[in-house]
This record gives sequence, C-alpha cells and structure tokens, in this order.
Amino acid sequence: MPLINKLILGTVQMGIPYGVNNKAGQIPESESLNILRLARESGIDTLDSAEAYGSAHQIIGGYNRENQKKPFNVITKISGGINNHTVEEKLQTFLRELHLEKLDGLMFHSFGAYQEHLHLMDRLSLMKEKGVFRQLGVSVYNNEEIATLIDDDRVDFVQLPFNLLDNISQRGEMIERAKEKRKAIHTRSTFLQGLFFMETTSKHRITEALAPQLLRIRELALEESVSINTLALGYCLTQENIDNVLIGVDSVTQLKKNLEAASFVLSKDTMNSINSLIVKNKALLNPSLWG
Amino acid sequence: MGLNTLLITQARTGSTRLPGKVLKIILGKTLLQIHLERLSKCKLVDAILVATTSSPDDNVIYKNAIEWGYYSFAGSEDDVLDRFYQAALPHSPTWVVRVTSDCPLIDPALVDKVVKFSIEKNADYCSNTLLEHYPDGQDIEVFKFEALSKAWKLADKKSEREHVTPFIRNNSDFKGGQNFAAVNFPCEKNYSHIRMTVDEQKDLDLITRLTEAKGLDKSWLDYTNYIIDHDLLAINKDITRNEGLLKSLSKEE
Repeated sequence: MPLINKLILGTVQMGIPYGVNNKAGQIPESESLNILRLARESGIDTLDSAEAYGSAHQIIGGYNRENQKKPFNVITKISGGINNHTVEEKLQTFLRELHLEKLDGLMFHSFGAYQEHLHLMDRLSLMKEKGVFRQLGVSVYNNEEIATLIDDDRVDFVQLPFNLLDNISQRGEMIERAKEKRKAIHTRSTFLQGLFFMETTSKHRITEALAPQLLRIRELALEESVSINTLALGYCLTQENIDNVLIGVDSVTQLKKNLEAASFVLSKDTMNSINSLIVKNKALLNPSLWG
Repeated sequence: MGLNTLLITQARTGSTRLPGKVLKIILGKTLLQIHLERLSKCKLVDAILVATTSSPDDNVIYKNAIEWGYYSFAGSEDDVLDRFYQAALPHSPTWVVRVTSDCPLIDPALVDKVVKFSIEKNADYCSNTLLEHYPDGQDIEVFKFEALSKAWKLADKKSEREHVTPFIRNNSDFKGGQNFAAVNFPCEKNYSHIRMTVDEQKDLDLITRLTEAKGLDKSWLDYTNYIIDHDLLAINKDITRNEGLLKSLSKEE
C-alpha cells in the first residue's frame, strides 16, 4: 500500500480560525475545497473532524455532496450533550451534515471523555453493529491511558502523539502491545506544533531545553538530503505498526509539500538514529504544557 | 434545536498579579486543564465552552480547548459581557452556567446542584455568590440566556461590560430591582474566609499543597476541611476577593 494512503487530513483549520494568529487562521472555503480535491485525487481518503471544529462538518458535507461517487470517509468527535437518548440523534445529525451514510470513525476527544461515557458504550456498540459508524476510537496523551484502553474490546483504535522526539523510544513498546490486541494505531502531532522548524537559537523555553535533540534532527535531515518536514512525516509513515498519520495543512501548497514528503522512505540507519533520540522530561513533548 | 445548559468558563493568560496563571502547572497539568476536567464530570451541563480573548497571547488557550474537545471562542478583551453573549449565541442555550478558570478546584457536583436549583426555582439568575458564603474559588452563576441577552442590550456602564453579570445582579429583585428574579444558592456555614482561587503566587502555593495531599478529584468540602484541619489558611489569607470587579467599580466613582 502506498504510504500516502496512511495519511488522514485534519479539518480544524477549515472550520475555525486556527492559524498562528487567530484572525488570519481560518482557510477560505474555496481554498478548503481545493485542498480536499487535491487530497482525494492524491489518494487520501479519510478526514479527521469534530463537532467543535466550527463549520468543518458543513465544508466536508459540501464536498461530499458534489462528489457522491468518491466521498471522503470521516472520523469525527462529539463535544457534549450526549446520553443514551440523544446519542443516536446526534450521530444522525453528523451524517446529514457530512452527507454520508456511514461514519468511518467515532472518536472520544480524550481518555477522560471516554471514561465519562462508559455508560454509553453498549449503546455505541449497538450503533456500530447497525452500521452507523465503522470503528470507535479514543484520543490519548500517555502510555498509561493506552494500557487501560487495550483491554476494552469495544475500542477499535487509539490516536496518540507520535513524532521525531515523541518516538519509538517513548511509544514503541506500548504500540506493540496495542497491536497485539488488534487495535489500529493512529498518530497525531507529526510536527510537534512546528517545533522542529524553529531555530534552536530562538529564546523559546522549549527549544532551549531540547536544543541538542533539535540540532541532531537537523543533521539527520542534511545526511538524508531531505527537508525536516520530509524527515518528520517519513518517520511516522515508515512505521509498520502505525496505520494512519494525521496531518493538518493551511493551504494547497502545504498539502503538496506533504504529499511529496509522503513518498519518501527513510533508511534503516536514519530510523535507528531517530529512535535513539531520547527526551527524559516528557512534559517538554506536550504542547499544552508549553504555556 | 439549542442546548439546554451551556457552561461557559472565561480564561485568559493576562493577569496583573500572576501572569499566565491558568497555564501554571500542578501535578503535570495546567490549571486550565484541571478546571476543565473537573467540570467535565458535571451531569447537568450539556456542553462546555471556553471563552478567551482574541489577543495572540490567548491563542494557546483557544487551541488547547479545541484539542481537548471543548467549544472555544475568542472574543473581546474588555467587553466580557459581549464575549459571553457572542460565545453563547450560536448554541442558543436555555441556561448559561458561568464559572472562571482561575478556579481550578471548582466542584462539579456543586455546579450540578446550583443548576438544578436554578431550574426548579425558574430564576433569571441564581448563584452561590449573592451571599458569599462558599469558599472563594467555588463561584457559580446560572442564568437564563434571555437574561444575558437583555443585559447585553441594556448594560452601558463600563463595570457592567467588563464583567458579565453585574448588570443582572444590580437590576435583580435581590438588590431591590425589577428586571430579573434572582435567588441565592445557600451554604450551610460561612466559609468565605477560605480561598481556593488563584490570583497570586500565594494562592498557587496553597493549591499545590492541597492537591499534592488530596489529588485532583475531591469535593469542595473535602478541600475546605483539609485547609482548615491543616492550618493552611495563613498561606493566602490577606488577599481581596474579586479585586478585578472592585477595580472597575472604583474607576467609575
């Protein structure tokens, strides 16, 4: 299978202002449609969305309505207001918005959200059997959360952060355990919020703390004669145990760059060098703690 | 179809006394995340929305909230009444619950009680702060979206725009007014001398001590009793409650 098929395209930037500056952040609808068209033609068939992503559902739905022969599969997430009585209606609303007959995936935004909705799991399993959605997933932050989830047979996939620094040394063993339990593995945070592209001389607390590792990443990219972007994406896509890799783009140009990067296969040596990059302080790898 | 109850928490990084306070980290989590994870346990809240400002410094709050699965809104820095109204409007809730994210240990069960009480009383405005008997840091206000709309249309004093509910409170029957029916959610004892909100470093010190001892998922009363039993009151006792509101009122005098 070509590696491009592993890519899942995020849609948060299409639905709400999400760029570096709030104001400039939202992609114009026409550009969103161009991105979706190119993605679909290039072999990406699944989108990641959420109820909380503003008008993202409507934009995807607009595309799917015009392209009924080749619509996008969609993984989406619920933000609130669900109980045993309302969840079915909520998912039917999603299907209408997305112009789909079946959701590819329904995902909990967090391990906490999964725990708070355990009482809904039987109902959700029933809806899966009825064909409302194909797979149930949970977005997680740490390995302890994955360890709990792999024992729940109702969970089909987990989505975890994974990248050049939050790498096999941190995640490999847990990913293998999850695979043994036949969970699909989706990863996000491929570029660690742009950290790999930042100058190590910048006065950012995190780049200072991670300077040795970030410099090593630069060296490895030079040795392979590829961009850091390619190295970062290639590292995730080349992992056999990773089924899907989530990326987000702001423009058609960025998507093109990532599509080119996606066909690059990293050498064993480079993979091993990346695997040996170790970050002891795990808090440095969690952007929500950067402040 | 709108939501029945929408909880809106206001959050920003700017703070004169403790800059970036909601992003301070305790037990590996930011205060904002602790606050939101506790609120996620509310049974009578249909959805949670984080209302921050459109200042670039607050983009991190806006994005984190979305990633964690909450609705997020970036609005006016100074007209917080407008920020709240604009945030709530697309969700057309019947009831709005207001809390602030400098209260990391807000108790979800207490929120549920105030919500239930408000609905039973069919009050325009209900809060456990009309009489300030709960510890500072457990402040909960529940009001009808209709009341918020009315305040948004009518309020014109600066202090009534910089904060969300003074207009409703000042014009409620609780204060002798006629526009809004308001009820206080009572507390059995007066705990107003206890502070578990975060305005200054000393408050953060107390919260750190408290959560290292008791964890992140205790009730307001468990935390309160721990503070009293272990004599932690001295850590942050001389700080004025609601200094922000008092400041905007004094500017008007």
